[in-house]
Amino acid sequence: MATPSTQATVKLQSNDNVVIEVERAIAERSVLIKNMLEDCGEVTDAIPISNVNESILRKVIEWCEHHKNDPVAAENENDDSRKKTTDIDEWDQKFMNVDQEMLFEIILAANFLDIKPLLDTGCKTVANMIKGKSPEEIRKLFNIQNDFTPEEEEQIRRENEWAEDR
Amino acid sequence: MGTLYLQHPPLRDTSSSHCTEPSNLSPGNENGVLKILMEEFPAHSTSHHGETHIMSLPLELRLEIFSHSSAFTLLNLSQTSSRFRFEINAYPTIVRSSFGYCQSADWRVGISVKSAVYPQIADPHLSIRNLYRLESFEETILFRRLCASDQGEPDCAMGHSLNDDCCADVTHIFYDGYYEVEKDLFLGAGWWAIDCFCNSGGSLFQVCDARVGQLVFT
Repeated sequence: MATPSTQATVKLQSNDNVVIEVERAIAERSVLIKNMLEDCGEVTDAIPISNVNESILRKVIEWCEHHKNDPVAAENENDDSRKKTTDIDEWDQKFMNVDQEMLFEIILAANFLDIKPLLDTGCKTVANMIKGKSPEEIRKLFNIQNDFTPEEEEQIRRENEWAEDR
Repeated sequence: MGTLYLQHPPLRDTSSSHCTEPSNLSPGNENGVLKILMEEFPAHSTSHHGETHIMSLPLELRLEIFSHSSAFTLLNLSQTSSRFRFEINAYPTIVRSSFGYCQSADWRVGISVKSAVYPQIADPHLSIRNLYRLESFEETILFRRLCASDQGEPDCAMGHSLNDDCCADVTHIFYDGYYEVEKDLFLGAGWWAIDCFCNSGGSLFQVCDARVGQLVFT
């Protein structure tokens, strides 16, 4: 392993070639970047984030800045309880109040950069969007095509027939 | 130092941590599910408009979303398209750990309910009979909207809770909210118990009430 670096900032380069300089502590909310910096020590060149464009990268950095002092969860810490709630704090709710395309891009970026809390927040946001909606309303929400055959529709109806008509 | 390149990390394999148990809900072999999915449902990279879409997320990320959803939400989602139906039912450990799921669909068998109430299901999927609890008021409202054909008296539906034991004598509930009770019980004076009152004061036992009050049967 390289000698630990004391550099205060790192440069991140989006896939549309925009370089953004951020505090190292903020960038290290990404486990991917953190591990890389630990392995490589001093990094002077911009780190290419090949799967993320500038607007999404800036959003991710904004989230990391806001959460830079959050305690980092231990690996595999209480994975079940993490999933059991769809509670999202107020700031994160506002942060995630974006159009669907950006929301899914944030989720993809969080997964790529290995930022579990941001990934959780994104997935919870989508789960909350679905909650309380009928199948038809969910289709409209996500532009999902109903491709069930009449036979499948009938099977679903029968499966969910839990009381009988008088 | 030269240019650094970040390699795409392996996607978080949420399926491996969730899907280790056999289940009567699934084809039985969750390890083979991904292969089946790829064959049955070719990958969609984008939506019709070239934008990122829920179906363009990797399966692992959709499973993450599923893992934050209640059983009732998963049920509704599984009824939107064949792909969602397949994905959700292919990962029963996610379904089983969802809020409001119950393993046994036949929670009322023990109180001699007519078998006709529960038609046989040839191919087990997550169904309304796997729900024993709703997560929120908005789910309750949706349940009533989707499942109760007769809204009946609006004050009745919320009159039951998990702690009420008044429903234990109900043996059969119909779509329109009427219910049967055992003969000679205080709930009703006969086979039919139309407009009779239960301990909690509801006069028309609605489907939603039965669902919310289901724990009294277990």
